[in-house]
Amino acid sequence: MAKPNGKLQFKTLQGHGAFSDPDFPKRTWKLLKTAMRQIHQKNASNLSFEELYRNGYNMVLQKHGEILYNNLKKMVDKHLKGVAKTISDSMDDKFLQELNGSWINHKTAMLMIRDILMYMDRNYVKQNNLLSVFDLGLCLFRDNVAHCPSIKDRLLNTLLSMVQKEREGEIIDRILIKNIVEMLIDLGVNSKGVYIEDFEKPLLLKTSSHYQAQSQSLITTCSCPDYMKKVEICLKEELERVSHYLDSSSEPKLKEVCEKQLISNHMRTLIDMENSGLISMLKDDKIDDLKRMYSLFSRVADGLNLMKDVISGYVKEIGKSIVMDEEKVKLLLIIYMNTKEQGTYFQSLLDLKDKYDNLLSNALFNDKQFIHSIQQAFEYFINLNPRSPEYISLFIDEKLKKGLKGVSEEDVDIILDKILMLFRLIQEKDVFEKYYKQHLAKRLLLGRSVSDDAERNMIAKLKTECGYQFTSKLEGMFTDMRLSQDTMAGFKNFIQGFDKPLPIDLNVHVLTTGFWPTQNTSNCNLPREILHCCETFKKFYLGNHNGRLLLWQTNMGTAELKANFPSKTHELQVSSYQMVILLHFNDSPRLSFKEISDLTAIPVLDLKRNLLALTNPKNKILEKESTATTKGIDESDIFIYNSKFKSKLFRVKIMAVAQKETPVEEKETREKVDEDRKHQIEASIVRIMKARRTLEHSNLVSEVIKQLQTRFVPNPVVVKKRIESLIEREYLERSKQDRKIYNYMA
Amino acid sequence: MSENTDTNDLNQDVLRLYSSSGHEFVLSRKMSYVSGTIKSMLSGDNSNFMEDQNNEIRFREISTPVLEKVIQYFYFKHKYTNSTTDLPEFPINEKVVVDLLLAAHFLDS
Repeated sequence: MAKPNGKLQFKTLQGHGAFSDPDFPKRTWKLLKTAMRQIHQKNASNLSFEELYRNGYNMVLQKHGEILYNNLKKMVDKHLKGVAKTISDSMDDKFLQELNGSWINHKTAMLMIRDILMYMDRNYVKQNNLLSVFDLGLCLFRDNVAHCPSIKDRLLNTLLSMVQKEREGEIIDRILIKNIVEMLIDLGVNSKGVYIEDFEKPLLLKTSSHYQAQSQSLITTCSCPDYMKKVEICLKEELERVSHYLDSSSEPKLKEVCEKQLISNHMRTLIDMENSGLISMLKDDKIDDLKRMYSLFSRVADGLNLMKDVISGYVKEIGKSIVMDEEKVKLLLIIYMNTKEQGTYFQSLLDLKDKYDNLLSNALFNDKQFIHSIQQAFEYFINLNPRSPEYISLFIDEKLKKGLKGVSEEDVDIILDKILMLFRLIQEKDVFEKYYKQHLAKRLLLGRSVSDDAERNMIAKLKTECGYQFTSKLEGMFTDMRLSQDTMAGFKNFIQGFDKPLPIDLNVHVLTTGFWPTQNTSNCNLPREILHCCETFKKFYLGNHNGRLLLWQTNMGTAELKANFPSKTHELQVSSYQMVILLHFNDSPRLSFKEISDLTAIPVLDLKRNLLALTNPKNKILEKESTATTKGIDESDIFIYNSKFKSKLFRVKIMAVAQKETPVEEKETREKVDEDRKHQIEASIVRIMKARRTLEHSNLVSEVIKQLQTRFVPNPVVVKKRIESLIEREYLERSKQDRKIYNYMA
Repeated sequence: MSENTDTNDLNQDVLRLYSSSGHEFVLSRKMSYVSGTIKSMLSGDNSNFMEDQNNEIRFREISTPVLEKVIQYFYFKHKYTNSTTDLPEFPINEKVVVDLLLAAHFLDS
């Protein structure tokens, strides 16, 4: 209902007659005052609310609001002064109880007074912008009691010492503290000023110094995991403290203080702690401790960054030691290196990767930052060793040759995926491609591959990783193998029509130049019978495919020979070169190195290698007469047919000496790769310039690098050289205005 | 003259209001809470004034017709608060208009 009009009420209420009385305000106040005393003494049940309210109502209505308000203020003020005195006089152990009790009484009394004087609150207080009755009561309590000199400090000290006691493990009256804290909050009158000033700030200071001291003593006595466990407990306790008796707004502040003292200030020390710090956790796979460290450090600024840097630095170091160590081993075993070394080299890298993947997912919650930094660390050290691409390829070679025997398809997939993970980190993917091609060629031609599916699987993976371009040649190699099978079937039909069958079985793989790693074909002299077969095949093949050029790659073939030794007849499985060599011993049992070389025209290096295989003590087909003391083959050596050859087996497989890249070959591969890169860089420059027409030098270089990144990381100097070469050949020109800008010339 | 509407028969819930001339009205406490004054008279957590204990309030300055009208208003208000139906007119006798206004002011309703 609407408020009544002032004039009307005045007239009507005058009818009651009370208002003409000059003593009215005094008399009414006296009545109210008595009533309030009763309230303070908790004797409200004798009081009539209606009467008191009516009196208060009339006072205000009669414009005596001011008298009423001020009298009330005076009265409460006086009452509280008495209360304050009682509290100050209380004993230490009763102090807080006394204060809390007074506070509760005061609050109840003020609520009742507020209700009685509700009309004053609604009108007089509002119109004059004063504190409402209840808030007035709060302010008076604050000024007279809470801020009373004999109470304020005592209150603070009592509270702080109770908190301290609890930190030291004593049990305290949490509810009492909670009530007092709530009082402080209430006393702020709609703000937390009083709470913050009187209690929170000193508490934070105290907390800070407490944990500073505690952490100092802990860190000198505890190991890193123990320290972290203790910190975790402390933090948990502090949070519980907040939830039990502090205001929730204090939580972040208190947390910050504790974290600063307990974690931030000691991060470095913790990480570097000997025998228990971060590094040793990594070494010993302390998943739980790492997890703990992660969650603690994630609380403070820079904590994770520091941890991340240390981990990645450590990974780099470990990786480097693997990479560099193997480098040393490799130098020592440059000739007799068997595939085991690459095996362990890569196996240890894979193990390392596994270990950190495990850590990432179990201890570091797969934090993106960490994944990234560890990835980078791997990338860093893998590329430290320039032979990593070769080793990866060798590792795959090894796996595909024998490592995957009897392994289920899913496991193969897992292994290949792991390898690919490392492959991804390699910058010089084109070098890898070169080696992979070589190794694949050998596997295919010598039939060494364990599983065709695994091979194709690998290629498919490489294709998704690097694109069609990368694998098109590799796929071409597979196609050649398939076509060759068809061709051979045709050839068999072809020779069946002959009157005189061929003296030997010939099996030919027709390889497309370009798909396969090109070998400089220095042809050896083939024996007549074989030459005849080859000619027959050539005729057949060229008859079907006109206009093609066939070249024989004698260095890649294998042969089976029947050898009649005095003891027994054996079948020898040898390479084409070895076959050619051995056939010459049919004519003469004793040949010098030079004679063999002249007769066969096999390149010296290959010849040595194959002779070494034939004189191998295990399968000694040839005897060596040497004047030199070297273990290998010397050019002055003389070879004799070993008539005493014996073997339990009918089929004797002459193991080719593992074909390790010699430094010369390695250099050749490098050169080939560099040559290829030149073309790729030029192609990329032209592509970019064709699209852009004009471009500034540095932009061009960065674009080129970006485009080629998936294959290798071009050196800017090399890019610059290619640009210059293109300018010379008039693909590009320098802009006349600015020498740094290039124009594309159509 | 006792105005009695169907209230919940719980004793706790029953409130007696007396006019200046001593007429007794019985109604549900809940209804009376439409008045802010009565509400704080009765429902303060810790206050136990006479009225709260005895479940009765004596209004020294409100006459019987006015108090009756006020109580009618409590029920009216209660019925139509949050109701979606159209608000019917609340009939008021012109003679008591001013006193009713005053009482409303006093009762904060």
